[in-house]
Amino acid sequence: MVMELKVLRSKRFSVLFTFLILMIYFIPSVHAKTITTVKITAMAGVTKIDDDIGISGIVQSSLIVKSSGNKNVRGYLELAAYVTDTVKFDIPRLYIKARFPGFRITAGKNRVSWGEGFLFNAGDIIFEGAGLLRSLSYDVLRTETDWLADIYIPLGLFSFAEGIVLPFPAGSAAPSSSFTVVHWNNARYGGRIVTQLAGIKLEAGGLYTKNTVTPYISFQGHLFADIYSDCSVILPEGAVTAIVDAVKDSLTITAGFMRQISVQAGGIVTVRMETRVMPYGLWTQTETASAGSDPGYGIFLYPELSYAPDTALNFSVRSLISLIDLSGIVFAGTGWNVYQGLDIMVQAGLQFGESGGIWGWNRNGGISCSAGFRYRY
Amino acid sequence: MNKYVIRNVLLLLFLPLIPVQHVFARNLTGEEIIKKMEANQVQKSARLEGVFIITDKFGERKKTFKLVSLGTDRTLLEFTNPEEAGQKILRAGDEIYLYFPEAEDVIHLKGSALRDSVLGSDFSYEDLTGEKGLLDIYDVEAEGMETVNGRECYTLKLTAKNRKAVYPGEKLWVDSELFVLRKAYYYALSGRLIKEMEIRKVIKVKGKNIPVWFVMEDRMKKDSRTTFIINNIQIDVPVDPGIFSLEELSW
Repeated sequence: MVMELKVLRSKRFSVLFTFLILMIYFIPSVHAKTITTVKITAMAGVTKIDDDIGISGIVQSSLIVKSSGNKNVRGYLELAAYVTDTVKFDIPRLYIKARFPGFRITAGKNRVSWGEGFLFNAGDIIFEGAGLLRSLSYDVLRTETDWLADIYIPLGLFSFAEGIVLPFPAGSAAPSSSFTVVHWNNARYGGRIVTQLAGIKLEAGGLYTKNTVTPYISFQGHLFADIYSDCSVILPEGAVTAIVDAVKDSLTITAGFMRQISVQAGGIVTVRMETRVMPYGLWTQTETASAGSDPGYGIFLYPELSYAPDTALNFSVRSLISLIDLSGIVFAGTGWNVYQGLDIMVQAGLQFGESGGIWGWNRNGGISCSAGFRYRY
Repeated sequence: MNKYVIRNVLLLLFLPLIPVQHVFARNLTGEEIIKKMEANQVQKSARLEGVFIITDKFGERKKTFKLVSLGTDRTLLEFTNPEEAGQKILRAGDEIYLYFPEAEDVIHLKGSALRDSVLGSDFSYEDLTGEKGLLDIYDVEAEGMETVNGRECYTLKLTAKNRKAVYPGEKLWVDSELFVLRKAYYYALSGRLIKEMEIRKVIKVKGKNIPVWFVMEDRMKKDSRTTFIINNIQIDVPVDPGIFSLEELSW
């Protein structure tokens, strides 16, 4: 059995490896010019585990190869490696974009960004952008990608329609071979329209999956600050009563604002506040909330404050707060661009709240600290 | 952080356009000179590639970019250095959009956000949209003539009309022959000198004098300097208006 598994893994790896080599060969051949970028991040940290202290370290690297010579075709390949006490490889992005008169197509593994929101985004129905995150330590909080085929149709300078097919169910891994066949009914199909009216960006769309439809609406405008809001529900197939119940269960509203303020000394302060509200969610504390997971509480907050005194330095404090059980997590960090491409990063995380809270102080990871380097070249 | 860098580049990019509005001549009123020079300096279109170099006590950091513009109110900028490669800024009228490829995200700046300073404190986004000229913001007073790097210059004193101006006061040295800015001081409300800018090189393209090498020094920070260089510029070249769109921004 073990031998069979090894053989199977070996075959899969061979297929994958061959595929990658072909892609590396193919992408530059789209046109002679390519752009190669390498990103290496090395971090080490300490964290509270039970009543003890744990030490960890990781080196994460990305090799990005992009085509650049053909103005109507783009190829993009990103290979990633995560090295701890084990080694894991991944392909976060691998796609071809082609532009034709009146539309463009993307095929491969990539991200689409639907709706508005930095952390909470109910309009991000493809990557479940209204969900909680375990870490707030990254520059960009949501970078999930998926296998997709996407058509983008411009309808004006600031308007477009987009259709998308995601062949694999949400949360599934990459196809295990080049010839994975998925029943059409298991795929996800979606679309959206984005336009602008009186300075307000308006967006509406939906995603069809087996037995469910998830429509959403989103807007973004400005009134003293950038303000935005999204709303989505998951509607099942079936009787009206079932649909009403589903609306109650899944109605999710996210909203936020962001304001940047210049300070006289020559720097910028950014203030952001976001919230996620589920009107029919849990509004009392549950005893069964597990660490860091989302029990479906009615309201969460995400405040963020950052200060960049110049182009080389920034400080930020971010927090994710559950108002129902009064627990939360706070991340404070700083980044310093010391030399060309080299950043030094220091971060600290602190959980607060009672032991039954999502981020209770006594939970694992109640306190953590990490530091490291990132180099891009 | 990335947005901060983008804003600073945006600031520097528009320095070639903004300072020429300050030009003064002896036989014309300040308003006439500014209007004349604004008209003279408006280009139908431009394509350029450049770099800005941030220097501090740890050394240099370079950000490279390419830019396309059409008229006074449409600009598309793309970073090309590895750290920010693919990040873009689209300006179309009073709309400004930022694109971040890692997140495949487009950010729309609108309304009062346009009055925010473009971080180096020199200009606001509103300035960059071309909706307001210097005469809307400052009272201009001629002070005399001085020589800067061997060039005879008019000296102008600018005083902000209200508190919305990022800099309450400025002093400008304008080349009396080429009518381009040679040097500028930027002051706080207290009168303290905050920043100093010098233009080291001006080239002639299709009969127009265009500054292509700027050095900005922050007088409140020791050993801090930003150099902005245009390596390649073409003006009045054909540009497709359709590229100033969300489709091109996210391409």
